[in-house]
Amino acid sequence: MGFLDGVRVVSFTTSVAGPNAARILAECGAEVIKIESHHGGLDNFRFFGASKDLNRAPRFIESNLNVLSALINLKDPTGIRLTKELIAKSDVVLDNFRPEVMNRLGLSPDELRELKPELIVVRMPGLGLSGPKYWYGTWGSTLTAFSGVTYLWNHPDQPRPVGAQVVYPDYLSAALVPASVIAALIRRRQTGRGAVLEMAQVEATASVLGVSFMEAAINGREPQPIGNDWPYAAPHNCYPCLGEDRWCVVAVETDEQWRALAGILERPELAEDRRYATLLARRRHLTELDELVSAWTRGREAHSIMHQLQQAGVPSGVVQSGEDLFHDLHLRDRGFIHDVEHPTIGQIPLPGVPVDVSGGGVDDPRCSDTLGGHTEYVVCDLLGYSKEQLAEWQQAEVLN
Amino acid sequence: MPLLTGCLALDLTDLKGQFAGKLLHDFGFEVIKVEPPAGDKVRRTGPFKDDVPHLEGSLRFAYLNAGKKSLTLDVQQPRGWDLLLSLAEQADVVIESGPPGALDLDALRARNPKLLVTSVTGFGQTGPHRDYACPDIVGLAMGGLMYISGDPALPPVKAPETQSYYFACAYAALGTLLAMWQRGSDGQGRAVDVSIQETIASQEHIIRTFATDGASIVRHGSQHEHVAPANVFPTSDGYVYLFVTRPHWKLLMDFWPDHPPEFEGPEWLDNDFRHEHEHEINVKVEEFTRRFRRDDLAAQLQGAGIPCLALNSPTAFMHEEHIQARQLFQPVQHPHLGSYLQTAFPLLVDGQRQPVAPPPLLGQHTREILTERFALSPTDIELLFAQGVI
Repeated sequence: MGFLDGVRVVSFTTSVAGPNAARILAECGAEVIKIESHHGGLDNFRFFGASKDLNRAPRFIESNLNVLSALINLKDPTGIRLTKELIAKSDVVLDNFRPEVMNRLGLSPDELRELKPELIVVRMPGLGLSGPKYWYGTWGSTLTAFSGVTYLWNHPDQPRPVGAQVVYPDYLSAALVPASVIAALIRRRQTGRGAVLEMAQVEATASVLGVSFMEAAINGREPQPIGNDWPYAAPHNCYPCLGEDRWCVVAVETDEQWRALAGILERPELAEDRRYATLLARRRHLTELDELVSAWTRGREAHSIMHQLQQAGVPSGVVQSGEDLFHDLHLRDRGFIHDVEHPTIGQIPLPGVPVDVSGGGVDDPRCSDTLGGHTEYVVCDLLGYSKEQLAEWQQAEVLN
Repeated sequence: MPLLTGCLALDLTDLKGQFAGKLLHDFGFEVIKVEPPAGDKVRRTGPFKDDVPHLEGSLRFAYLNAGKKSLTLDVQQPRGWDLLLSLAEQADVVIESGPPGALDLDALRARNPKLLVTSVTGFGQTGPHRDYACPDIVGLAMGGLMYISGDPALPPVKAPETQSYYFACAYAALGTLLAMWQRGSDGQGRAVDVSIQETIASQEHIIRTFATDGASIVRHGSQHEHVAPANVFPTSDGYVYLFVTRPHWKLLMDFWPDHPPEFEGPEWLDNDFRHEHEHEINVKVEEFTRRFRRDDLAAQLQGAGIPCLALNSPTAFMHEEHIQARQLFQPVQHPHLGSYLQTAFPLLVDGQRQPVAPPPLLGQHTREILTERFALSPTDIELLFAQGVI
């Protein structure tokens, strides 16, 4: 049983950041109820993928594991009333909409805490709830670009910024927000106080570029992309291996590791070569080192390189693709990838929450139920209305 | 005011785990950093203030250890180890990032059965690769993020700073707080095992995409996997990131009066269709975006309801009017580094931003901790100093 068993979260979330934050709380044991509506309130990710079935979009499934689904029309006054009744019986409210959306619905933090003062209200807007650009529409990659991360995520001296195919701000805030919620729950248990928590996704992203900002602030110098380099290692780079788009990384941090690598390259004389014997010397010959290493890696299989180097004490890794990770025996051995059962698709292999707490603090991932699968649970079981009333509201599009 | 008070964490980490202790500090823990008398190795890691190597001049150390207290202790000496055990008795949490088995965690737990021990390592405490070394580049490579990073015409490229460590530390804080929450009801100590590889591999549907679609995501710069235009675009004075999904396409056509007539057809509303014609779209959109200044384009597109933001360098981000209005960068005073601005904790509690604190000088809090926590006398402390224990 996940440790947050007994905590109820109401989630108004779409796409990546909000749903993943909610999903992590759910896998930690919280009862997370996601509110959606056919009246303009469905999660974007239900529309991604080949199937037109709203329950079959793989991106949605992965981002909403362990979450319960209820349909409530927030454009209807009765829908808002029922939502408020649910919130009054809950511990946490989470949204990742633009700042004005919840306020417009009459669900601003102040209004919610009037319903229940000890509520924890969590907001995770792209650029924050205040500031001249607070109203801007954002998406993970726009925030990565805005924060300075894309600028630095490149090989050196490139003609234009490049970056990566990941909505990094979403995933970062999706980890920091559940941590913040748990901290607020601990405080509430000690003091009885609720909280309004605001995590701007762009600020979460800036918090992992703190050294670069200090370099700019203190040394008055613009940090520049350094690609795969690290000033305290040589060689330290990404090298081609046997096969198409196959790569490994090698990171030699000590002279001892260099001697081990020289042996593996079958060039023991390099260990004593004055050009390479010390880190200082190796840093002056990075290009030659990269040629030496890639000449050896090019004809070899990436995983065999990693095992051979790591077993000799030389840090190395395969640049793993999704396929490699899917087959990664180490991850399987650790039980990181779970076969999640979906009612119509069958088994989908998916990673769980990447933290292991002894004593079973994190539940195995389960598929979210079908859209609206827990509307009856919310309206009848939690709020105490009759099934007749439920049917009437469903007819009237209040619960749809 | 931070969320928590009265919690103590001992931070024994190297570079891999130091951001976790910083996060715990920002959540309100008192964090005691236990350093060898010669200083944590990260103190010897640049960049340095004015490029001058100095134990108090590392900006990397300063950021990752801001707000912590520094206790110098040679835990290789029996007396030093003993002091660490005594400290563990008083602590709620120990964070460490050594190779699995390197630190005698059972000895710590024996002294304090309620202790929470959080370990941040490359591959976790179990499994065939548990002893593999994990510099940041290895974490990013093995976790799958590097494979989808960079220009497809060039080798994969790693993320800036030490992103695999930062990311794993966010989960280390999460796991620690989860164990802390549970301990509040059952009083039990626990181990929290964070694998850097797993935290990275949990992102961006990397594993699931292969599992359900039978193909891995490949690197393609910042081009979104399903959406077009969704990429970095040049303007007359810099770059923007423009993101256009189905509802935005129509808005973009309205905003762009002389758009190519072929973009009018209803098929262009379809995400998949646009994605298939991504190259054609990108070429034409680029011609259009070049007509604007960066900030004007972002403001005008946002006014038209289309997500677009300027692409900033770190300095330009710090100067953004929006970021300055939010006071994300907070002033700090430090005897060696002077007064400077540092990124604040990204969590606002009840609308309040937390002030930031400077990093500790080497051993700055040794005397205070030994006096207040162990009631050691000045003579005791002098003796420990003479023996090189502190």
